[in-house]
Amino acid sequence: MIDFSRRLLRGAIAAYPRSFRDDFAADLEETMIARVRRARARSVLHGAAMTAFCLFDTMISGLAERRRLRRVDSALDRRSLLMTWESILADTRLAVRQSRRRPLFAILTVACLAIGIGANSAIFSVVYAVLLRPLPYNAPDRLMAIWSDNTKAGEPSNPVSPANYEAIRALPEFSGVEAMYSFLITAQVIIDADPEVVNISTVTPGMFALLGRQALHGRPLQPGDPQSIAVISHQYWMRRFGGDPNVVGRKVRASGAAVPIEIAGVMPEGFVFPYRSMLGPSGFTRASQPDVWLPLTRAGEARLVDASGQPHRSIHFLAVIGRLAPGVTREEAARAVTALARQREQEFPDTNAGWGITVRPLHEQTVGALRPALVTLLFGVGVVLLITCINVANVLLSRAAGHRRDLAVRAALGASRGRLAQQTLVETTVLAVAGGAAGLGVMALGVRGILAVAPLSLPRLGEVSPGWMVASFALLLSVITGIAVGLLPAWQAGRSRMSDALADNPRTTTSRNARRLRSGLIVSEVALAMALTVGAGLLLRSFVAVLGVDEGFNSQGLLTMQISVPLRYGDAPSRVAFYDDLEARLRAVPGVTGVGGTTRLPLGSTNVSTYVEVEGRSIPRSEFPEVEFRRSVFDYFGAMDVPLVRGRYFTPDDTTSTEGVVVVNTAFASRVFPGEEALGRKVRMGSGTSPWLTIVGIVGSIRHGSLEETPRPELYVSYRQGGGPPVSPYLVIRTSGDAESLAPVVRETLRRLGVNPPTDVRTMSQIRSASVGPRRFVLLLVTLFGGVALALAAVGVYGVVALAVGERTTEVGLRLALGARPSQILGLVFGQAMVLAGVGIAAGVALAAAGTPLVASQLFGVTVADPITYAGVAAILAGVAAIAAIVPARRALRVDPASTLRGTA
Amino acid sequence: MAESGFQVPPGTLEMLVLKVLSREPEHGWGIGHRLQQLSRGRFDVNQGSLYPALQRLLAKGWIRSAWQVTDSGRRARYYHLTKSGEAQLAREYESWSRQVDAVRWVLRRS
Repeated sequence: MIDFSRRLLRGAIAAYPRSFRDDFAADLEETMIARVRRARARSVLHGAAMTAFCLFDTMISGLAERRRLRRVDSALDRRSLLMTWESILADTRLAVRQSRRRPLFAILTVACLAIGIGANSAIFSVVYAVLLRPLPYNAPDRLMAIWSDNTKAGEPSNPVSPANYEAIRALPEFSGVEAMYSFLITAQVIIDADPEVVNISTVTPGMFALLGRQALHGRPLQPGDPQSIAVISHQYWMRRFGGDPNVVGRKVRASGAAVPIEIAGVMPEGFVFPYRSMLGPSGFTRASQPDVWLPLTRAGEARLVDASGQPHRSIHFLAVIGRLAPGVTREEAARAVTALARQREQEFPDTNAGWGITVRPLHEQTVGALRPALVTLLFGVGVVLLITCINVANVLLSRAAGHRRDLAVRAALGASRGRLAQQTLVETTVLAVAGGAAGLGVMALGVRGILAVAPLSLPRLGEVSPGWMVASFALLLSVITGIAVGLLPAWQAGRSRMSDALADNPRTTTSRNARRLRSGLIVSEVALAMALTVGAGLLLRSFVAVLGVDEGFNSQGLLTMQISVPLRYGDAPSRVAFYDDLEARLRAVPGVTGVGGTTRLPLGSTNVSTYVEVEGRSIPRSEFPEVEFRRSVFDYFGAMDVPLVRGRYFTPDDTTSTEGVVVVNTAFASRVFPGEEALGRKVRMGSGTSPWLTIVGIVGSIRHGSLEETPRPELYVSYRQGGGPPVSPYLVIRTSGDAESLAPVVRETLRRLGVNPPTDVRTMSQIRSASVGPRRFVLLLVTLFGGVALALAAVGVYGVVALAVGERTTEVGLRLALGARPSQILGLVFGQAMVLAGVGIAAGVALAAAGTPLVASQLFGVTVADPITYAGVAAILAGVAAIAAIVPARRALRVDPASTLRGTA
Repeated sequence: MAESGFQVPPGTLEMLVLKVLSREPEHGWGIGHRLQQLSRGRFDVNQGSLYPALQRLLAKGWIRSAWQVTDSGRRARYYHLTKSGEAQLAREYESWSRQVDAVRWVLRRS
């Protein structure tokens, strides 16, 4: 807090003239900080209040000092503007009284500021929870994510091989290094004869000690734990066991596990590990959190070693986390792993050539990808607040114009300029703090709205809860807003002259100076609105471009779900029989026109990659191309409408007793066989002992990762070959009508087959829509901000034109009396408004161009200088300004020349 | 309330600062604090305007400054009176006393 106060004060000290600052800035700053410290020792609130007071003091005195330098022989004694708590209290009371006298003005101002401050606080509470709050582990800033760096492919965050993991463990730069599968697995768990699919994170048992978190009940995993021990999440504990603490020690059976598994502990609420983004580019899609943690051991079901007992060197499947040893910096750790990688490249050139090792803070690994989007939102909502401030300042300025005599009289009676300025500042701060208090309500609504529209896939969003930190932010923002809003009107108030009070002329127009000031405000307001709307426009165009991407298959009319093959079909032949039965029954459902299945669905799927060896090519293992591996169940390509490019799809005749075959996508064909015929070539996966498989078909490439990612090389194996059908496949069912309406019938069919209720039942259209969720989320909010900015700019233009018309009544009346045509008058007023808008739009183009780096990383299929967006937004803004200007401008036509001449207008 | 929070009378701040410094060197915060003490809590001095006054006094050569470490271990700039500052204080004291006397006479008369 002290640091923050210091930064604010440092900014405020800029109000002093340079000659003063050069010599005294440091001393003044230290003294003020000493005062804030003493106040802070009493309470945070005292500290914040003292900070605000010192800010006032610094700015007022600084500005006074500037003026003294300019006009040393000033008639007014600047010393009388010393601020005291008492005078501020008095001014506060005055401000409250004034607001009561003019409730409409006060309510409107407070409402505007409440929206501005509330929206900012809402976005801040998201930014705070996601980006700023430490991860829920012990000393999380010392935790590093460690990745293999595939330098050839330019992919720095690849999973690590077990051999490299064990080598990294030996480095003294880390006090602990642990690993987990870089993906979640699912398994069927049977509790009380009731099977259920759970998400499992497989971690080395020392992981919990590394994270420094204890269990709520029982214990976390510990080094040496066998794979018959499990720890469950708080969420799963509540959902499945109703929060029964006696669950510790219970044994459950799980698919794929030979022995019953004992639940050793329950982790506390709020413990999330791993976050989806910790698993690197592969990761998992649907489940945001694992239900169960199982130990990953050197040998065993989930293991780090190959058949010969050596840790795998060529298979990369671990996400590794290390804790920096005391006193070791991130840079030192990075140097150590780089040296290790180089050493291993020489030691094991066949597997390690071209592989580096990278270190990245775990926090950044977890939320780094979200930073650009959140910073964009923060800027967007900040611009909205800035425009709000400008509007309120504008209203205050015009109001001050009406009060000039009032102020001048008080100046004549001895109120110093500083005192008048202070009064204005206090008034705006009171309004802003009231706005901030009301803004807390807006914030609560805003946060709820944000969470409602936010996609589930954003990490840490569930942890958003406005707390003390966010409330302090709102308070501080209110005070800063109050000062920002009041600075210009305060300066104007300070310029009141006694002569104004004496020159009793009701027709006096606002000084040129004040008018120029207001014009400047309108120009900057229009410019800000222009820049923000351009940002929203670019995001909108990107969104449209993403939606227009051809996903490589037909996503309409597809129903998808994941099923678990009942455990009684344990061996491959009986599973094939089950699949045959399933296919026949699903095809018999009316409305079903195609049935397929796979292991991982497109548009947001995880990657499971493998290295392929091409028959007849003798190249080192490390040069083998890395491709994605998927299974094809039933007529997958037909059901999905994946176009066949050459060769054939899989057929029911591809069985274990026939030749092993694969189907590849076009990306595979062009990457692995550039300029060659891929059909008929033989490839094999993994170690050199697996059988050769013949490529019999080339199909179109579909977007598996997301609509924005170009397809990677893929290889498909039929479910009837290669080790038997998968145990928990996804089904894709092509329907002739509405896909969703078919779900109950399919569920019933599955139930009759003795299959557990399917999970993750969604239409492909829903999956497609969810895959652009984060983009839609940012777009929605930025568009909302843009719309608000446009509306505020329109209000600003309206206000300024209305005021100008009011002030120029006499002039307009004279012109009309002298024979000016109404259209000329209209053109005069309207033209001036449009000149302001034009200048604002031009400035906005420059501002938008300067701000494009903020959104550049979030654009797709559109350049940052997209002329259509710029032109479109400029046109919209000009249109809005024209409408806002024409309404008050028409009022000038109703001026009665006769009454003007009589002097009564 | 009535006993505190008076602003320093116009034109006297520089003289009062000189007076405070004639006792012992002080840092900026100390000067404000001491003024409040010496006025028995009646004067409330703002740092924002105290520093410009210090700048003027420095420019006129009546005080000098040096960075030192405070009792609490923080760095602070200490100000102390020069010879010409002492003379100035005497002059101002003299002139102020006359003014105050004059005001008092006028007030008594009416």
